[in-house]
Amino acid sequence: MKSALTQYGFLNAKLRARMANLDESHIIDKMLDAPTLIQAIEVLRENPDYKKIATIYDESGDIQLIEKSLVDNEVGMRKELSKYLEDYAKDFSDLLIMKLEINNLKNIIRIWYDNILLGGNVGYRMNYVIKYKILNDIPWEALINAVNWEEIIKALKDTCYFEAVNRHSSEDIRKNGLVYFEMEMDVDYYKKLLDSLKHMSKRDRMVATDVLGVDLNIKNILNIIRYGKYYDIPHEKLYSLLLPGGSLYDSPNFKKSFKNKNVEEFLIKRFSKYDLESIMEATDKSELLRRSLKLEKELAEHRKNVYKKILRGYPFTIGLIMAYCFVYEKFNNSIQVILNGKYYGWDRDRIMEVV
Amino acid sequence: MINFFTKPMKLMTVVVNKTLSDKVAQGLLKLGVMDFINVKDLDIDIDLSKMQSGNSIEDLKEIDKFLNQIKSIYSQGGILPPKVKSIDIPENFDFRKDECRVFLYDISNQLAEIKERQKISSQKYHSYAEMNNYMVQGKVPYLDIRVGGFTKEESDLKNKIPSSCVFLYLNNENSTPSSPHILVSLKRDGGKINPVLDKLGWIESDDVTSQKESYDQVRTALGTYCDKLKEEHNKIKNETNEIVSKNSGQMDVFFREIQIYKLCMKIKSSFINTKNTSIFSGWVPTDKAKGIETIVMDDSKGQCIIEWTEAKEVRGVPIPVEMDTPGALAPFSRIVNNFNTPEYGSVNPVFLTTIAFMIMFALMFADVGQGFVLLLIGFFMGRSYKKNPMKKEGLISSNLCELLIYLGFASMAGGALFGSYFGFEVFPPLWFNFHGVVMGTANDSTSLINDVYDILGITIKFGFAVIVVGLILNWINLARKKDWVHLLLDKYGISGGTIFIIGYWGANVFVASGYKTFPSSPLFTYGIGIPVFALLLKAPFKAAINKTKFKIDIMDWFVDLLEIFSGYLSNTLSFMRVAGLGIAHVSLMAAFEQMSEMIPNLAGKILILLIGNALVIALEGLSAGIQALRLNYYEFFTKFFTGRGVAYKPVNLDY
Repeated sequence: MKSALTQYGFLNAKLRARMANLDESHIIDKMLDAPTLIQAIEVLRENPDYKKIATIYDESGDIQLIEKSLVDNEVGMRKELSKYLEDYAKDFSDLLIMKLEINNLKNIIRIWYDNILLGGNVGYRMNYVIKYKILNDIPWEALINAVNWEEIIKALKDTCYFEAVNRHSSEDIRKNGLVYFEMEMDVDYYKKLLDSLKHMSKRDRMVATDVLGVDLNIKNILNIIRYGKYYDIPHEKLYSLLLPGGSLYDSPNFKKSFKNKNVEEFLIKRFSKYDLESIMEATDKSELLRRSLKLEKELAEHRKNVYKKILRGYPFTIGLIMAYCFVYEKFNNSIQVILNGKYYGWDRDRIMEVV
Repeated sequence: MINFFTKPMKLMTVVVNKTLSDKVAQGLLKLGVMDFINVKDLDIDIDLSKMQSGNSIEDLKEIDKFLNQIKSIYSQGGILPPKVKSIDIPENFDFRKDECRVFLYDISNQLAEIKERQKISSQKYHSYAEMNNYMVQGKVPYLDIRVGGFTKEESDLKNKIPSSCVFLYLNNENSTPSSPHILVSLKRDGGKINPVLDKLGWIESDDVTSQKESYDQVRTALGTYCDKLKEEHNKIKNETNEIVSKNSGQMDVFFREIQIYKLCMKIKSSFINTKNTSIFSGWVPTDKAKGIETIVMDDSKGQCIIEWTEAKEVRGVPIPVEMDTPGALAPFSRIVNNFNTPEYGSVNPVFLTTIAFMIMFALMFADVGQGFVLLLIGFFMGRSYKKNPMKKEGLISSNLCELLIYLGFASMAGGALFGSYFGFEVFPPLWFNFHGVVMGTANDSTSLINDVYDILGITIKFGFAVIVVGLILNWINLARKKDWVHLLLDKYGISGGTIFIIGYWGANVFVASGYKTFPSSPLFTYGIGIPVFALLLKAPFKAAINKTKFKIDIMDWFVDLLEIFSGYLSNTLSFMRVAGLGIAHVSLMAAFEQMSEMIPNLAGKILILLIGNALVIALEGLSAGIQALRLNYYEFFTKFFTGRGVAYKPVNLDY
């Protein structure tokens, strides 16, 4: 097995340089300052890494194609990382690629749901999904052209996602929508991710567990609010859909609070630095959404700080790969938000709220 | 006349009638020679803290917005903004801000509208292209191909069918609604299309022949339709270019206005104002002093006070450095600037860098043929950059092209000296046969260079010469600065230099004696001994000048000595890389020559030689360039180039 220095030495230099480039380019600030969408695109044109995206806009005028291109870049970036790694680090890195595959799969199934089951006019959106191999051999075309749930199950028959889709019947989907399906997909994914930590070196395992722990806590808090409060999913069902890991999930008191149906009080007490009380008290759904967004922002900031801490710490760990993927994803998401904001004529403050 | 030192500068400070300050700013921009400083930084006895600055950052930000907007419009149209010249600054200049805002808003809206249409057209194209792909790839199960007719007589039938469905008449364009039609759609869109078709009374045809015919017809029609959509899409895309070029005349006018206005604001941001006056100050090259004085006097109608201060009298602000280098030496100026800015009043290093760089390159990459190829690449690629300013800078950038022309000449000169023409000796060498010496095939008994060691010896001598030139330049710089302590008692001063020169002579004698004895002359003993002890006096002299406590710094002296002996030795030996690269060049060419001899047919031989030459030009050319750069930066510049200077940046139309 390679030493940490050999495994991460080169990547450390490379990724840090790239992150510094992203920082120093001030693309996000300049895009936010741009008064129009066209000027925001010009900011991208000035940066060699994003020039191609400006060209896509020149050719199509379509920001959805830009979004697709950003996802393509992300897939390319994660695949590139994976090439540099070996052993468990490569397996872990492949799981990071798998996340994008799952996102693509969810996206296709969402469009399918809107198009076929809800009868929306969104079939054209299938042109913006990825149709090439991301990690596994997935028959994307068959999925895209599925006209019922059975065809989706059939298309995924020989893939690692078969079990996840096969758990749900056509009737379930029609009745419950995609919420349970998507949450279960996430649960399966995080189980795999947590499983992969077992094979890591002690230092890598500690770093990855810390980072994933924070991630899982955040996702679980938000899921409890979103699905428990907003969609009113019953407690028993909700617990089975929580992501399996992190200090919150692993705490016996948390499990007990679910049993006693006082999880909300438990969360308020445990995460007292966030204003969870006001969220739990919200009766109006739009108010609940507004307050949740605020919380989401605070938690995102917390996650950002965790990654910053990793970057300040011992450099030769898997944490660097995780931090880079986080930074890159966040950067691309910000570009997407700004472009959409500019398209719809939002002002800087409104875009900033979402960024 | 060429100035071998940095240009002498003078500081101009002006107090001008405030009402005329705009006019003065325009005049200063037109001339474009003043490097403004913050008047508050000057060591003067007036309280300037309550005086206002000429322009706020917000004003500049606002104008930047205009500039970015107009630049983005140019970029959308694929054209470059015009170059603003001093002639574009009119007598009574004014920026029509409101008109410009309306104009840019209007164009931006037009472009946004085109982009929206472009988006819709792109989406439509991709939808049909998907159907077409399935058709071409035989993935018909993803498609619904219907043949039939409508039972209800509806007008404007085409527009009633969902847009995601391709509508065709079977065989006949002029058919009625009830005559056979073909409808093609994606199966996944069936949920939306079927109800509409039911509403229009669609009945599927049971005519087997029609059904069969429809497949081929659909295949052709879809392809044609996609081509048509692509064409339409491109047409919309071109509208952007048309709008931009249609308005380019007015845009150019506004662009110039914005640029001039911005630069005037930039100039005025260096002004500080009292109730009735504006004060500004800046550096001007001495030879431009008269010109700028006349401009300020004229534009202020004589209502100004001008004060000139010599550079040596100015305290508290750095004196900017301008080098008077001929434009033809721009590639080497860039090499120097890339390293750093020389100190004010020091030697302009560009001339000597040009000579040193070209000699080094010529020694490492000596071949008339390959040099000519470099020259051609530099010339033709450079010309294509000039012809097409929008061309993307590639690996061989426009700046590199200019350098390649020089290096091509240097390489050709080196090739002629060593008799190398694409690795062959076509003409006898003017100096010695490098190729022959390296390969052991040279048989010129009169030549002083007979083996690889002789070649290494040449490069060591060359290195010695380069270092000595560097030292002499350092001594000139220090003498001009009147820094006598460093001139006499520094490792790169006369003491250190003397140790190096005498040491080099001693080393030569030592080698010549078969590594047995050093020179017995007292010049050798005293030439090394006196400077060694003189270096010990550096700290006390410094202390005396700075009026600090007397001290003898033994540690500093010892480190200096170590650095002198090890540093100069490694610096000199470093030049052996020049020989190394030259030898590698010959060896590679010889290898390709031998490989070509193994091929029986002429075409194969030529191919091997072509590939060999191409590889050598690319790889050796690159390494010779990098090594020449390295030797200049680390062995030559470090002797005299402190890099503590501040570049002269006048506010002009190139700012």
